[in-house]
Amino acid sequence: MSALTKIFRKYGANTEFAVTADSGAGLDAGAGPAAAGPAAGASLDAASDASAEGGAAPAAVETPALDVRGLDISYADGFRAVKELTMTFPRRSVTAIIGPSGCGKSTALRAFNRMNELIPGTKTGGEVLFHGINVYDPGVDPVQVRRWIGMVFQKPNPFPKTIHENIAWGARINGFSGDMDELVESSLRQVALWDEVKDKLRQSAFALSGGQQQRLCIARAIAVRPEIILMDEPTSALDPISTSKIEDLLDELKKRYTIIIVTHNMQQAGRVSDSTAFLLHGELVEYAPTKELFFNPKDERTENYLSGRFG
Amino acid sequence: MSAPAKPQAALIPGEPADFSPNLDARKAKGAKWRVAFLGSTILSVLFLFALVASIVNQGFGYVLTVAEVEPASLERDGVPLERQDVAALVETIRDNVPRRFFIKVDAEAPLAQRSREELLAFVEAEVVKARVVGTWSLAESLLAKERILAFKEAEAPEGRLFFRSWVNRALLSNPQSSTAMLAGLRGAVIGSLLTILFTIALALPLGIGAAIWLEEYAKDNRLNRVIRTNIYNLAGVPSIIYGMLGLALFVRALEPLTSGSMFLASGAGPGGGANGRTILSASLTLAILVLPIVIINAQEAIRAVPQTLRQSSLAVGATKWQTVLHHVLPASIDRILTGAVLAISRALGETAPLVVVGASTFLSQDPTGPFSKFTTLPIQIYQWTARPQPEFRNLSAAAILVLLVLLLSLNATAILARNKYRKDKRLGR
Amino acid sequence: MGNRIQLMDEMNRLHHDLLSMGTRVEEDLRKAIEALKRQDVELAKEVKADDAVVNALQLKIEDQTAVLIATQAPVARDLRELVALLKVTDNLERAGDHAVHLAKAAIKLSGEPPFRQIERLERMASVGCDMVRGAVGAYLNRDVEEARRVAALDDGIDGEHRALVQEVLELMKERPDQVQRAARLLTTSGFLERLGDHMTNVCEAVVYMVEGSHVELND
Repeated sequence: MSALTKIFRKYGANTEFAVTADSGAGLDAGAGPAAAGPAAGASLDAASDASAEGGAAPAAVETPALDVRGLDISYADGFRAVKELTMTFPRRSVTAIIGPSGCGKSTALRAFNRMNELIPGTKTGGEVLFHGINVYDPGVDPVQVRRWIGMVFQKPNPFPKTIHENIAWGARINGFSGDMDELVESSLRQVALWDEVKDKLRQSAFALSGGQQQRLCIARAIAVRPEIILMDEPTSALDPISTSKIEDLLDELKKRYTIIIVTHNMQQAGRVSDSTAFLLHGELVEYAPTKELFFNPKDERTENYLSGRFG
Repeated sequence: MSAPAKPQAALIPGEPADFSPNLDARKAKGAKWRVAFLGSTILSVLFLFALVASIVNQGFGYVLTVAEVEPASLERDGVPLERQDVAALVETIRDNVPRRFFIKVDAEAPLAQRSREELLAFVEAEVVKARVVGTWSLAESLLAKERILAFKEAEAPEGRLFFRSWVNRALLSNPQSSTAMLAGLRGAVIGSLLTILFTIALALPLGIGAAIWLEEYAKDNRLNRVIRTNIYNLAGVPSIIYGMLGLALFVRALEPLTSGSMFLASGAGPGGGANGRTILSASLTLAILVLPIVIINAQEAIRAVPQTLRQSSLAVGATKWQTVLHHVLPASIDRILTGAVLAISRALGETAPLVVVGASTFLSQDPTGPFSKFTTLPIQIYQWTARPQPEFRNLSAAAILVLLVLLLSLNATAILARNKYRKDKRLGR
Repeated sequence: MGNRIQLMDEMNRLHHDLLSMGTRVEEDLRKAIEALKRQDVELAKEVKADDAVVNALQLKIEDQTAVLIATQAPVARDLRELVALLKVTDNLERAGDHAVHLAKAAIKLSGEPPFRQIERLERMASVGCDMVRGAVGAYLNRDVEEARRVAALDDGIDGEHRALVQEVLELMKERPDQVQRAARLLTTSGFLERLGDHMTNVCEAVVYMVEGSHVELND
């Protein structure tokens, strides 16, 4: 049994198949300090907090959802896509990773749930700690990792199956023994798709529009109740209305899941994320709460990228 | 579909001087190529048509037979031959064949206990002994009837001239015979079907399995690339070589297996004679022959499945095996079945390797299982074309027609199955 | 830095407009001082008429800024620059209003021998003019040092204002018949003191634009 499975068996999560986001908070198996989290700047937050609540109280200290240390990724041809990335992702929030094309953001994202291994010749160094366990540890099964850290891709890619089956299949192979119809309905409700498809559950997923398909993919990902959802430019293939529907979803989803979204659309990062990290040539340039980063970035490179002076 | 003539001058006034669109010249060239493509198609269709026409031509036509003993004269107590019962037939036979022959035949299997059809056939073969004097093709039969009649008058005025469709029920139900009029394809058809059955049962799972391994699991290193290349090469090997392989390996070396003696205490397979020239050997040989086709097609089919499908399956925590079984295979099954169709077609028509492996020239019994002696349709056709009598030409043509129908129906079944899978895929079932 | 040519062109245009507006306000203030000094009613009337142009300019800049934010979605420095611009033009427009107040005072105080305190008013207005020029320059040059220096000038205006108030109150006690006219001195001085405050606001906007923080540059 892999180390990761053991941890979750211990807390009963796997057997019940009902991991709420809260159950993760209790596990504190030696996770690293939240030091490299988004650096909260003084002026803006302090001012608004002070005026609103009469005194800025620091957020309750929670272990980060993901603790990345020195992540270093090279491709088969020797190109170093990610250079010693160190950052943590806070729980139950939306963190955006932005940067120009080729800066390594997608590569880094795919490293978090070991999807990079599908590309032959990729070398990954450093650690990605999930509940204190490095997902790259030899004792950890990547299949398990992907169950807890799900992914939504750029182009909507539902299974060539019915809508119902798209959601049910993942749950079933992970040993779900509860009421499948209820799971399907609850997953579809969470992505605001239930009313649109409740009469067509047995139709092919391809009968849906692009935006609906992508929401279906999100529902598929959350049906297995992951803790973290990775999103790799989820709306770049969609029209503005579908994009905006999905962005609205993120606000709801972040109450239960931690979301890490890679986007090349800065405005989107501004709209949806709580914190934003700016990557350039594989390096982390700046990582701050979104309001900070967009109002008054500290690094000149961030300023130039945000203002569109390059990239 | 011709466009109205456009003016030669540039459509856009002021078009830069160093552009000369040559629209007419380009279109003219295109028109010429179009004619060439159309011509190739027409030519190919003509060839096909000529082939089918010549076969059909030989398969139907007038036959002039002369009987040694006229069936009409075999009337017994006013009952014509065709309506005589078993007892009457036995008497007819007794009256018309040499005594010794009658005793011998009766000793083999009592005549009185044989079926009526059998007895009639016996009478036909041993008493009436119709001899074919002339056969004509369909074209001749339709167009040169007078000449045929004249021939009859000149050569065999007492003979019987009738229009025969050489493709008839008797063809399919009769066993082999050296007499053209009585010969049938029963053994060959059963042999072909059985062989194909076992070939597919062996080649499909093996081929698909190998394709899955090569595409999904094998690493892209030197060894695997060598394996892949060699599989492609095998597809082009002349089929006679497979025959020689089959002979050495399955017929001789693995004789206990292929003859069935391994499984049967008596040491004799149902086909009679414990040797390896059985349907199993033929199927094994053909299976190896079509394996590269199946593998290559299945590989292409699996490769055509988009990588995003695999990724999305893995991303919900599926194992590689679950991804292959539940997503990759269903998505590629229609194209894999196309490969199966190609394999069936190839296997059904193979003649040379099966001759080497030991198709029987004469079957006393129909094949009943993998350990039977066998013959197949193409081999039967080959044998008939080698006979000198002109009527065997007609028989071959008829047999070819049967083979074609068999081929088309097997293909149609596979295509129907493929289309069903394709429709299911589209509808997400 | 290559991109965003459109954004940069538009912002240059806005700067140009701001410069026009600032120059015009400065000129109006100087004319008003002259009118006060020489008791030139015609000149004063010119200043009053010019206020309409100043107001129009402010509205134009404001509208264009809003359009630019909507269409170009600027962030960070660009955004702060535009938000600051709105503050600057708003305060500049009020400076224009104060020029008008000065002109009105010139008209009302003409026709009779001038008060001695007029000199104070002239000094205050002059410093105000300098502040207008300096603050607008600090914005256009994104110069925080200059902004702080200009803001410091406000102290001078405040000093003069306090002194003038004392003197005028004395005057009103001594010459009750001149109370009405003397009152005009007080109100005008008050407006000029506010002019200094508004220009200080402009300097604070410059700091906001460059550093991203709100500061109090006076007291």
